[in-house]
Amino acid sequence: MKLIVLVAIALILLAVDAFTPWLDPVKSRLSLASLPLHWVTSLPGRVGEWTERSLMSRVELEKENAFLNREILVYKGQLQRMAAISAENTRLRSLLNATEMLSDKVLVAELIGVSPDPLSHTIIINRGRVDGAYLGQPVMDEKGLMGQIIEVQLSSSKVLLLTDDAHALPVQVIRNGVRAIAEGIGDFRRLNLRYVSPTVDIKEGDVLVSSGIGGRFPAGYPVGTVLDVHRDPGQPFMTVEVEPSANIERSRHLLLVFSEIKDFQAESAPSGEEPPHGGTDDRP
Amino acid sequence: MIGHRPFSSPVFIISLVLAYLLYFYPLRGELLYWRPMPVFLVVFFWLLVEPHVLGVGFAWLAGLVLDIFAGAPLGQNAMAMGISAYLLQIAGPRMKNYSVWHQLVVVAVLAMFYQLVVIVTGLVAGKSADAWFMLYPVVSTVLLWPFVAIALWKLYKPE
Repeated sequence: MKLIVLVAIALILLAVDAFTPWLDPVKSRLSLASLPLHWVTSLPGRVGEWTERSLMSRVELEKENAFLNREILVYKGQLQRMAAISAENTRLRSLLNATEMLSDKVLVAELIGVSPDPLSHTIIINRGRVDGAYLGQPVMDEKGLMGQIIEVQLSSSKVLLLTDDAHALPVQVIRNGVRAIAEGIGDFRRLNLRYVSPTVDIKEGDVLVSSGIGGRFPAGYPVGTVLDVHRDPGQPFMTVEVEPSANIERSRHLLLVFSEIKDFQAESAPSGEEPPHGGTDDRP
Repeated sequence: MIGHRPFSSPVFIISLVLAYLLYFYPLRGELLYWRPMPVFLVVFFWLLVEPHVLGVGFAWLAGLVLDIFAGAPLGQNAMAMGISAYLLQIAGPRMKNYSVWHQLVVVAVLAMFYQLVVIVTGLVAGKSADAWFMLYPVVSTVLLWPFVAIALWKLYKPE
């Protein structure tokens, strides 16, 4: 008898949770409870990192320092060229009457928790409302886009990764500008491209960047590299496998991208209406 | 009072806290798919040891707490725990007479049942259920059972 009542309560909760948004505010409050658990369980890893750092010898530190200095020099050199190129680009775009390219600011964030469920690819980062994080904000690591924020708390946020099977984002091939939609399939090292017809010019090794269509992700950030293109004459579309550029499984230090698109979105949707699940609205 | 025994025992409280902590321990790569179900192991140990004090309600509540912590669809683990605990109550009184291997089979069936309920309720919440790796946790949980059970038993009843 007791069992029937309890199972009924569980079923009702499940149904309410799955089909209505009523429980969402409650759940996002409750999820705060898991933060201490994430914190405690990440201690061994962080202690390891800390001891490794503090036990580094002077010689090693100097070597690393020199390497980093060299790297900065190289990047600064590239940046100088970038400045000239972006100025030229702005001028050319103004000749074409196109809108000016948006400049993005970034904020460094740290990973504090990983979802224990292998089917839901979400992580928790240590930036929240007080740092200006917002729903749908793009998150990247040093190599490429990682995902977007789907839940903002006071000082932490939940990020849906590109590889989650509920996530999709519009991309573009750098080589020729072909557009496609990169969709997560629940594998940390793979994305699939959707609706690529067999006549489209796309091949192994092509680099994909975010196209900016849909207004959620800013244009031009690396997403992945095409690993394999498979044509099956019986199928209407090709199977295109993509390897994400970001170290989706390994990165601990991430960047939050603040782009001007945020204001644009706020203007176009003043009702403050947000999609129920961050990733799905980027789907066609 | 005998009835309050598990609740006042530090082993009971610490084992539960540890189980929830271990559930969140970050695993990487392939290991992620083999994550055992520590809360299941600990809760079922206590159900077996104190069947007159702890029952379906306790298991259900433990599952709900897991749902809250894990951000899973609310009620998913609660339902799985409740149903598996009920099955254990049917089979439980006889468990003590079984051999170790026989007990392992019972735990395997319960763990399988638990995972199936989780998978089916996950379908309702819009998750896919098309891969064999969803059953890997059952294997790792069953393999861990003897160690968890013996360790907790030794700690709880040292005499």
